[in-house]
Amino acid sequence: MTVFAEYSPYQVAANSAVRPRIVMRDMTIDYPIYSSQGRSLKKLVFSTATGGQIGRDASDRVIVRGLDGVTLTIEAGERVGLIGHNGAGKTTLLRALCGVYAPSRGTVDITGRATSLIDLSLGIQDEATGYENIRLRGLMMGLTREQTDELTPSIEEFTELGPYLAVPVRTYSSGMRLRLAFAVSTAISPEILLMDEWLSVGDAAFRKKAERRLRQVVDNSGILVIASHSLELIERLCTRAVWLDQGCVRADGKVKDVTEVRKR
Amino acid sequence: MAVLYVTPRWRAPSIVWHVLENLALKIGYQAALQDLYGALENWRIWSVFGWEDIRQRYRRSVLGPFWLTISTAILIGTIGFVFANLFGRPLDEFFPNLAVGLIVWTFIRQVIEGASDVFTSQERVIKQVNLPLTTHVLRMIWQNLIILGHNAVIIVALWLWFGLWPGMAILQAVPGLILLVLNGIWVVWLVAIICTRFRDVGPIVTSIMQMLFYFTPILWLPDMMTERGVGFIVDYNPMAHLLALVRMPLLGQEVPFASWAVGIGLLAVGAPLAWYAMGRLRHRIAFWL
Repeated sequence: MTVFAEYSPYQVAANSAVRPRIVMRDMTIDYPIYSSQGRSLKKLVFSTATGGQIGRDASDRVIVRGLDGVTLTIEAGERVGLIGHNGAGKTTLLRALCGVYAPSRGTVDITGRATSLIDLSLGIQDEATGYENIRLRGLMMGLTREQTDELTPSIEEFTELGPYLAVPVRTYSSGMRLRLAFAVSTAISPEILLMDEWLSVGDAAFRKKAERRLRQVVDNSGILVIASHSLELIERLCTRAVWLDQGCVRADGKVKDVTEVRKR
Repeated sequence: MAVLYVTPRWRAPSIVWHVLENLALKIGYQAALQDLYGALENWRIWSVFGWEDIRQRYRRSVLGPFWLTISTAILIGTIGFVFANLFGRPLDEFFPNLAVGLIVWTFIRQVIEGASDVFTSQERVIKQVNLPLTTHVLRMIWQNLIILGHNAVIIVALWLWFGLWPGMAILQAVPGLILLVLNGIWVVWLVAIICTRFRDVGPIVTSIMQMLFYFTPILWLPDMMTERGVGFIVDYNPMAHLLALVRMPLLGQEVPFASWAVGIGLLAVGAPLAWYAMGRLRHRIAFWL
């Protein structure tokens, strides 16, 4: 018997919606980099006043290409692992998928509602109790109060925090925060779940439970995109891997094949 | 994070460029509309988090947000006593003017100053959830409206103390406040965009608000300036008119036509400007954080 049986009404709701799908075509994301100098108004004012030497400094912006011509299609039911070393563009890709970063070139079409677990502290108020935070985070994710209240018992059970839920969150350890955030964010089976690597914070038992739930998300024909440095985690969890290197897709395919190429 | 390159310094103006710009205007219009509409639709988020911001601040205190009321009351009492004697004005004329003026001004000032970090303080949310950015603007304005509500207790106390009941004129305060808030939204949008991009504008905004405070009839009465032949700093001061929209009804006075005209005029000029900026730059803000 699975722990997740009580979520069924919402899973049905998720199923009845459109099949989630992500289509990226030649997606490029450029960041302008502003140092304290570049950001300053003084620089701009002075450069327009002098027009010459400094002007070049102010308008010659340094730009970092975070993603370079990424073309990918992710279908419902896929669990995609993003690999690549630091600064390869994993988090940038996740941010583009939740609609935070607009592509500077190319397109990204997202069908379905994306829930992102990039930053654990989203909508978490330290002074508020666990229960209050369930409501706040639920609200931030677009749930009504009634929906959140209905989900609270199952969230309670999943977190295993018991009486701690009545205590302000500032007293929590990072593992406890993770349990709370994860439980709320995945309480209604999200159509698209975007995660940056932080599952490692929890203890072994919780990790196992969390991984089971992540599979469940996809079993309900959702999409999971997870960025991780742990090849082992991705091999265990994902059906497909994408290797990003310097903002480009270096390899894309079955997890085994991609990790093999990566290791070479 | 790999290919580093530098954008060309200057692009030649051309017809193509103008056409693109017009197109951007159209796209901008839609993006701004979606953002505003989305934020109004998500009213639960900003209203709850606006309250939460205040509750958070006073979580472990007994009186909670009423500390705001108390500190405002003490400030008004002190300034009122000193300046009424300094100017040799009767207390019951000077005091209500000062109190209502200072309370409404605090609202205006905190909204405009709050604009400078309305996006930077929400960086984590903006970088993770695709919420309409106006949500953060409304959250800040709502938070200040709640503070205004707490301070309104002082105004009621004043009515009782001085035995002045404003009568039906008070009803004018409602459209006045709405007009003030609508103007607030476009100002916050514009200031927030500029302050997020240029980080030194924040302190400039604070200085400007400080300056406007002394130019606006709060610590002094309008006729004091008119007597000395410098009445123009009241007549041509948009802040004085915006303040009058809410202050005068609460003091039982009729709002002059000029103040309504200035309030509506500012909205007519500023809102399209902010609308344009919001539509064109909305997508850049996440990169500026």
